[in-house]
Amino acid sequence: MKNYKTFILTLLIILSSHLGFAQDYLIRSKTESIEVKKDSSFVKEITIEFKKSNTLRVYPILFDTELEKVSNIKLYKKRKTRLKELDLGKIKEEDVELEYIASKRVKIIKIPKDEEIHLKYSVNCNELMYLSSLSFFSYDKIDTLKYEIKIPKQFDLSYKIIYKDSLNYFAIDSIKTDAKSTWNIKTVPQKIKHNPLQFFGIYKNLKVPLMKTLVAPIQYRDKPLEYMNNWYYENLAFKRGLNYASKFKIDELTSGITDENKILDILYNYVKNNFKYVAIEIGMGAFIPSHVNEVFSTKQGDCKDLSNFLSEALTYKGIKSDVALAATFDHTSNCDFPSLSSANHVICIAYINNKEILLDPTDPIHNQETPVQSLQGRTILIVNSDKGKFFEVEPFSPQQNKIMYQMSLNVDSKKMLLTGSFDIKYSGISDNYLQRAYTYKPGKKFDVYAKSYFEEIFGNQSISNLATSNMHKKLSFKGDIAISGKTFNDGINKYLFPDFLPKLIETENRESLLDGTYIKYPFQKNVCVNIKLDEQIEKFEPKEYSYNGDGISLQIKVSFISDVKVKLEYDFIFDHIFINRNNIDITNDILKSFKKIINEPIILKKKKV
Amino acid sequence: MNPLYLKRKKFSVILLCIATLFFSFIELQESQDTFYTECKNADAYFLHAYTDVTYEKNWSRYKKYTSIDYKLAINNTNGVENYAFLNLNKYVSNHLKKIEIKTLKADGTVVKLDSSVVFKRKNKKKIFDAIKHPIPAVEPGDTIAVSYVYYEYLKKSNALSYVSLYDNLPCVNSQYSIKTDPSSTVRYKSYNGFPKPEVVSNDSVVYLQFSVDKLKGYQENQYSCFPCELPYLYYTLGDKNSKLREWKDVYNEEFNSLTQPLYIDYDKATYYKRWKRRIIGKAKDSSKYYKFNLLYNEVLNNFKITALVPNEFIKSNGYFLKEKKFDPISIRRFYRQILEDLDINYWAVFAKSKRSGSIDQNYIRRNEFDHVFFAFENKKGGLHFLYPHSEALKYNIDEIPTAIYNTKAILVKPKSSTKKTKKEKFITRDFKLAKVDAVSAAEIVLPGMNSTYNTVSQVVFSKVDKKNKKVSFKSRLKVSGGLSTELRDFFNTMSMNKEASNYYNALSEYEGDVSAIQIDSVINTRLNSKKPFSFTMNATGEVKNAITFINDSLVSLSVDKLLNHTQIETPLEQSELNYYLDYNYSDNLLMNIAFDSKIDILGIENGNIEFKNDYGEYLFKIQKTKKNEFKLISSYKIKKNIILKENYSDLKLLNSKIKEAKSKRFIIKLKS
Repeated sequence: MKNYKTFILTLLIILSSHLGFAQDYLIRSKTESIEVKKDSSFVKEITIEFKKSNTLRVYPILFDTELEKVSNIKLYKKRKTRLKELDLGKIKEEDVELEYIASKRVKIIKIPKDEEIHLKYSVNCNELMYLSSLSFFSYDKIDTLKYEIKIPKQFDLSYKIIYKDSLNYFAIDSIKTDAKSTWNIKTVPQKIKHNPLQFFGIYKNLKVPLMKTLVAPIQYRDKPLEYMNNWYYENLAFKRGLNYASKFKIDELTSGITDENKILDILYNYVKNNFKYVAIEIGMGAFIPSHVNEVFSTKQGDCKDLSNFLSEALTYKGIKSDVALAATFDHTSNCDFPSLSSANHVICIAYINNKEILLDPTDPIHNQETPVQSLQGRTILIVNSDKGKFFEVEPFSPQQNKIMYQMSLNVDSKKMLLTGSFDIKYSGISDNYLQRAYTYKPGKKFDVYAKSYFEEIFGNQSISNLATSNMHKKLSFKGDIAISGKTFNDGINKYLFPDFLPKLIETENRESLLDGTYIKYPFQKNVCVNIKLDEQIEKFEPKEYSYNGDGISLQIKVSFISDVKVKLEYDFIFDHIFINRNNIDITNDILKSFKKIINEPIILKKKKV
Repeated sequence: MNPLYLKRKKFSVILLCIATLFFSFIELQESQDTFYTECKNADAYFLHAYTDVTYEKNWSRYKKYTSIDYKLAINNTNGVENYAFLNLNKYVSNHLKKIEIKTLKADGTVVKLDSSVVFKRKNKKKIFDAIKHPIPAVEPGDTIAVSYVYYEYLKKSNALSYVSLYDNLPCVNSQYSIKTDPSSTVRYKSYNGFPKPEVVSNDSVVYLQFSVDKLKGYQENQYSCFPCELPYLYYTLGDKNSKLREWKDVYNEEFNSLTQPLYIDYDKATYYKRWKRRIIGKAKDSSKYYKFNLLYNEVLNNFKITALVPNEFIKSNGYFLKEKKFDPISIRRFYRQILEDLDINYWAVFAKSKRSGSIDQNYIRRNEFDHVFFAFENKKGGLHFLYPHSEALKYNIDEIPTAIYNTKAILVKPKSSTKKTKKEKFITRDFKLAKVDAVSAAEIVLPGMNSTYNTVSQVVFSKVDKKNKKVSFKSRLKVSGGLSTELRDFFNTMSMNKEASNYYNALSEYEGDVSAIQIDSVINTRLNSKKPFSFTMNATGEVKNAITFINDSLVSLSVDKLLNHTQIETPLEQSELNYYLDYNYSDNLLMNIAFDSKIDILGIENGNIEFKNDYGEYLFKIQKTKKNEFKLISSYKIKKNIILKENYSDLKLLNSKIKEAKSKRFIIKLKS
């Protein structure tokens, strides 16, 4: 009911040891025998051996109703070396509730207690491209995971294994005959935990071992990129060709304009502002876009639909354009291997004056002059009429995303008050976090939001007269600030607590960051505070603090300007997008050091008059 | 008489009339302008929203057709993203008679939603889940036209509805109509100024139409209560000669059905008597109230409360006593049986959650009471409340959910002078519920504790170890009244719900160390079963991130993370609706900090805050108590149960004082 969340949570941690919850499955082995057929369909025979448990469990078989057919479900109990078939009873089946419209269903199998149980079932699929990965991780404890893949001579298997180092045991071998090749993989899969922290932007399960696969016709042997490109390009061809209504609208929007950059700007904004994001992922529709005219007439679609429409619209206006498969920051794998499992996103790429311009019509705050936030440093697969190509998305430098704070304060010792003004400027994409709020909470709602946002950044001080400007789509703010209770006097010294200094990482509230925290973009933060005192002070040598690590640095300086003026400055550079095991210690050390410095008063010796 | 004076007077009257007309016109125009400005500024607004309900008699039931028809103007991209969807609940999805969804484009063209895509059925047996389907071709500036009709079969007694015309978006015109045949009677009552209907009643039809223009949009929050302050309507349908509902009907339908014990499985039923004898034991000659407490406490301390299992629904109390468990229904039947057996005078209590609106004692409505429990008389003639245990919380005697604190409730008791027969006490093999012919009813206001009893009090004694730069503490946390009820309910819910628990654990990890008072070990916990049900926890731990050792002679104290008061949050600039709180309360922290040397505190002279207004109080005080000790007091109090919307700023001001206190720092000079 009220905000005693904090209080409750504190108690919850203490008492949580009393809470007992159901355990995950214990699985002796899981075996998947995958056979690719000559007609480019494939079938998986899956066997799971459950260890004995004293509780009744349910096992979900997840499948896509449009692409997969689950059959021959059988349950056995193990009697010494023999298996005795059990009655399955009625299998419950239900739709999987997802945020998007999908064709996923789940069959729920009851696994009896007090017995060693074997579960066997088959999955048939007619779309070979759907065989795009083998996972080497599980939310359950699996002792042994085996894959056997049989490929007829008409096809060739390409693969890439990622994060193999995280596996304790891994073995792969292959046997080739005239008729087929057979691949055997045996591993102890990595057990991963469910991560509810992802609701809060902390991604812990991103580096999980996985084999990305592509089964291509033999004529594409050693040319997986070309096959993937051609397959996607051919599928796109069926989804293109603007009709009269679409062309009429595009012409109407760009009437009289010849500058390619302006045309791009108009069409990009039109799609971003007038098309609703709706993901409908039915069967291969999860990968292949809807027809451009359908997207235009319904004014809705997801990344692939909107990017394909935008690309087609640009091409129609004579601007060379393609679509590209991509993997966003929160996807397990980078899109550096031609497989459907590599990508979770599609963008549009335009070419003006031989320069690639990335366009993401599902990102409402992206503008074409900057890289796409979710794809910084990632690889994308450009699908084109040639053989396709991988393209490295250039990340931002911290200097491109500069945040500047200028503050001017006056001390009133009697009232223990500092009052003054501040001026904040964001450049690059450093204001993306605020731009989203600016877009979704227009007008007064944003004013209220921004006031509360900056009050928190200034350590809960009161701000007033906050003025926002979004000139050239770059936010800047001006306002007045009143800081109370931070200045003290005794007969000899003046004490000044600098804990109103803007915090180092604005988007994070924790004092130390967790592994997997998504910082969003690299940035440089420059803060300069000029303080005018109401009593004269003795001259002092500048106090400097310096911290450096790989891709992170902090310089703080407190200087004497005159006998009534001091200056506080800091310069913080953070050149990472995620907090990971390599940068977590240095980042938290710097955050802790900063906290320690602002927790201590600056002692200014009063001048004897 | 001076004709000029008359002339002037006439002129003045005319001028006055013109001025009145002019200003009333301006006022009207202003209110219209305000409304249309609100429409323009909203992400979307309703041009109209009509709900037309038709009741057709169908044997002994009604077949009800509900026709929904609205036009929604979309103003911006947010409007498209949030409102360009067809949302139907599961029932409506499966009982549609017809549906038509259109996008009226700003250029005059019309795009229809192909409903066969929305309702694609793979097999005939499959029922649809709730539907959220995108409405196509919607752009800012377009209008969505939605029209559909669904039906339902209703028992005659369920032909009723509570109607509110408000939504979170503004609406230019909203209508609700009821149509039925003349053999039925529509009884209705308007609340909070719901408009009067246009009525047509003749030989072929009874038709009522309620219409309102220019409805504001209201955003509901956790403290809002639409029925408490916004207009709404309640109506029922019945035969021409049907009687108004009486309290005996409520008792028979809503109390007997929930509480009447069963006497079907004889063997198990007799176990009840053996169990009762065993628990009462040597106290068989004591008073009936003493015996009641013995039986009640045995269940409170030694029985589990589990979810309702369908095949246990017709089990007798003996069965549950044998299983050492009850469910939310069987516990009611058990209470009733022991109250009857011990011949304790008791009442049925019918209550309604505060934020569902108030009970109307003069017009007894259906679906009104979401809390049905017992009240019984003690030996001194006083009244106690007996609220049935739920899965998440075992209620102590006189402990009731906070949602019904200080609300009106009705006590109902059958009028009968004769001894009850077995049929009147139990449901037997014919499964017939007992029916009483006459009852007495009395309106009461349920007790709700005030801020003296609804408290969180934390007392912390801390010692500063200068040498090791550590601050250890011993603390006692006492939570009582409504806060104790809610806290225990929350913990138990967490222990039963893995997903919720995981979520809260993740939230806790995400938020990090939000309190400087970090408990290392809990020494003991205790729950007092007597009002105000205090839950006490004694603990030890360390104060972190609040006291910083600057050098050998200076220590700084940051108040920020020492204060974690339970606040009524005020995230809005202003509130358009009142806040209805379950209870008023206080949250107090007393912290004593002792050093191993004498101290001086800088900043103490401007350190205190003492604030009071009509809605609350806040006190922050820092005071040197000994040469080497000081105490810090922070006390937040909410004094009222309702925060009026026009005084929302008072609550904001109160909260700003905590913010002010949290930003405070002090310098402690250590003397050698």
